[in-house]
Amino acid sequence: MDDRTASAVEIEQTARKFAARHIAPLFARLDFNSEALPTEIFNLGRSAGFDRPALPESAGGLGFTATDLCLLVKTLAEVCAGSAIAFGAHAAAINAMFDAGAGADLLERIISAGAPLALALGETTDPQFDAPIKMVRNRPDEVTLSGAIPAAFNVTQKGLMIVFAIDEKNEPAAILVDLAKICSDGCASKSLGLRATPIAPVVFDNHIEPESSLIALGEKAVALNPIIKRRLCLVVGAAAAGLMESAKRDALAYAADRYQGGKMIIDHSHLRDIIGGMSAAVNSARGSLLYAAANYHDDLAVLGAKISVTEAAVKVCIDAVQLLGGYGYTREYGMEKKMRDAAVLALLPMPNLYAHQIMAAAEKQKL
Amino acid sequence: MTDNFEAEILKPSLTDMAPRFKILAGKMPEYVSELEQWQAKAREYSERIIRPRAAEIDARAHTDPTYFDWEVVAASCDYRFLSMMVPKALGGGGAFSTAMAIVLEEMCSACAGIANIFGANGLGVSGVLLGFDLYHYERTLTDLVRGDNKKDPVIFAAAVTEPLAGSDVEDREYMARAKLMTEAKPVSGGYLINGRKVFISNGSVARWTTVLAPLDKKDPVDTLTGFMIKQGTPGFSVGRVEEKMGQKACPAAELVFEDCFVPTQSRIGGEGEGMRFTELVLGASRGPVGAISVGIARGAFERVVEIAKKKKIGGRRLIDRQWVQIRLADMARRIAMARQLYLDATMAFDFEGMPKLMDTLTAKFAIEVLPSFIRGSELNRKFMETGFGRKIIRSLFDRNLDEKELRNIQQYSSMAKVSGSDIAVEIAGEALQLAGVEGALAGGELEKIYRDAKLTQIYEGTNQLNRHNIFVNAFSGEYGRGR
Repeated sequence: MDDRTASAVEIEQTARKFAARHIAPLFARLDFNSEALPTEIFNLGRSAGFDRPALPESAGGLGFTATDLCLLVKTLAEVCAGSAIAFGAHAAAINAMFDAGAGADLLERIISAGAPLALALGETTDPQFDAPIKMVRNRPDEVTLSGAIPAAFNVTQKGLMIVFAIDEKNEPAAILVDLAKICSDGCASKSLGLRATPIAPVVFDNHIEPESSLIALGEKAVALNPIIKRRLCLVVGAAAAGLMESAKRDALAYAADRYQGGKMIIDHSHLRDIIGGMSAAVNSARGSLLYAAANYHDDLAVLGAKISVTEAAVKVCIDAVQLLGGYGYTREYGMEKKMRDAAVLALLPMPNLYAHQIMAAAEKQKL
Repeated sequence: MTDNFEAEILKPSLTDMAPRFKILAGKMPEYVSELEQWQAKAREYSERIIRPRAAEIDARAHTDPTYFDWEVVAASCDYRFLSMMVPKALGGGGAFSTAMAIVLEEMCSACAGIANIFGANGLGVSGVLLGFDLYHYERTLTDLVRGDNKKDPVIFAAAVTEPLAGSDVEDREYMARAKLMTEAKPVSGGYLINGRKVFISNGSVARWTTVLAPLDKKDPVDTLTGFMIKQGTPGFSVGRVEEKMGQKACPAAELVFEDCFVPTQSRIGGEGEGMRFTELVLGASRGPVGAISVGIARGAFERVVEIAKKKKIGGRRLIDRQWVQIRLADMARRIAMARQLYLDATMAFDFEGMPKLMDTLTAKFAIEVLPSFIRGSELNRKFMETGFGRKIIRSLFDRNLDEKELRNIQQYSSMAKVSGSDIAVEIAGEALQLAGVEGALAGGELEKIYRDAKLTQIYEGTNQLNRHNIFVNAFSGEYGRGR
């Protein structure tokens, strides 16, 4: 019995068609060449509302709930997790900024940039400690940024980036930076996975932005960081769920077709042991994600889902490569890409091990 | 322990690696001293030659999977790793499994791909050594020695895996029902080989390849036979070279046989001895694969310690944080554990396996006393083909190699391979987690190590197949194959 809502079915169908038509033909090339999702494809997605689906319709979005956004990202990720994150991270950040009360001008600037929004958020929720960028006001209408971010993601040459910095008074600030001014030579770097969402170091060498690029200062900046991260955790979890679903599906198809030891792989009970584990992980991930989406203001729910779903995705993809044997390790079969993508998902927006510390601190606060 | 504790953890000396070497140093000083020398050479080669070039070679092989860096291999000639297992009397290093394993651990801590060139070479060499075929000792192993002497490296490979038979060709019971493509049909003067082998490490660059093929595909277990085939033999060609996720420096090639005629002299050992031969070789090689895995895990550990010493979160260095210290301690513990297991496997081989046979008077006479022109002669080859000649070889094996000990070797080897590879994949993933997002960037080495680690769970028999072996050896075949 299919108990999905009509809107959920429609979202899946739309996303599936988009992915099949626009992402499937090129994701393998993007991965091999370490290329970002092309802006033409991103803009095609924009026309379908994929860049801001969770904004209310009154603000130009599709009025998606958190669950709807997860479903969209999950479905795209079944084809390519990197492309899904390119849309999902962008959508999550816009949504978070809207929720945090960011001005309409700022949101419009991001939406009309025509490229995925890059994010340099730091790996804990405390920008006061983790912001490597220093901000100085040499002139009233300008801010100057210096420092280096070891790894920002969704970094393209044309887009904008949200950066957290510390000013002269040791106050955190969130700024919108124009990557085109910094990345004229290209910021992209080759990474392990999610290559359609380039991860790259970004260096600010006395880079100037107008004062109007400031998104938030002081406590507002401190509050904005975890809001964005919470949304991102959901999106990352959704991508991981889609990724492992497709890994499981492809591994099963192979196992039903490959003969070893006198029978099909899928009929060896010790391999069914592995397949059963994969199935359990994939099915339970859905539940974890739905709960987190329904409780997306709850740090523990969202972080917990991000940790458990991405860890499960890493294991499922490693097992999927194992089921395919030598073929799983080669580019031709596409499974090794999934394994690499899963490993990077487990690092976003912060590594799962760092997230454990954040969760423990949150649990202590609740006592 | 010395004052330089950190160096001991990260770059342990032999005696720091395992207490057994401290004990053995008193009882077998020459054995331990030779191992220490191999370790020192491998460490120098790894730090001076491998590590500075690993990322670049990985990147080049990503764009062109056929790329092979002869320069980095030629730089090994002075250290003589390629000929390290060739008997000393033939000009080689006379080393056995433990030395090979220790060398591979060192190399893998720098780059598993480059290390695998030597590992796969060792597998091909084992194929000749373990057959105790003196004709081939003279004909092919001395080629390795000449290559090292002239700094013009000669490489070996071993071709076992087929497109439709991976695990099947490494297991006697599975082999009976394997869907094999390759067959070596007896014809006048030799054999005509047709078929394909896939995922052959060093396959595209090896001068000599040990090929296993049945004389009759319908009866592969009893007719499986080994052959030494030289690069350039008509009918023998390289097909596609795979685009692998990692260990890219070592090419994995398809080998194609199209009416490839090989003379009788190319056969290793007797007809139908291939399955027994495969079991001996895998028993010898899986321990060193455990070492490859330990090297990979150690490489990840070394790099993440360096990162932890510099990277700050929440204003403090990672290495100053208790949870990070515990995680690092656990990595060190698992690496030490996996190392003991591979040393158990390789030392079991060194003391109870083929080297025991090589230590007999008969073997010493054949290798050290018999002139090379007799060893490599057609007369000797024909003599070894006779019933009497085969009887001498069989008797040598039967009198010196105990079946129970051989099963123990296989047992330890499979355990070493499974444990080491599982630990390598776990630690590579945890290292990425500790390093953070920047750990996923190319150039930082950790992302390459993550890609390299996975292959150790697959080659030399998947971990699933090796677990089968562990069960079978533990219960001495008391239970049939589970369903």
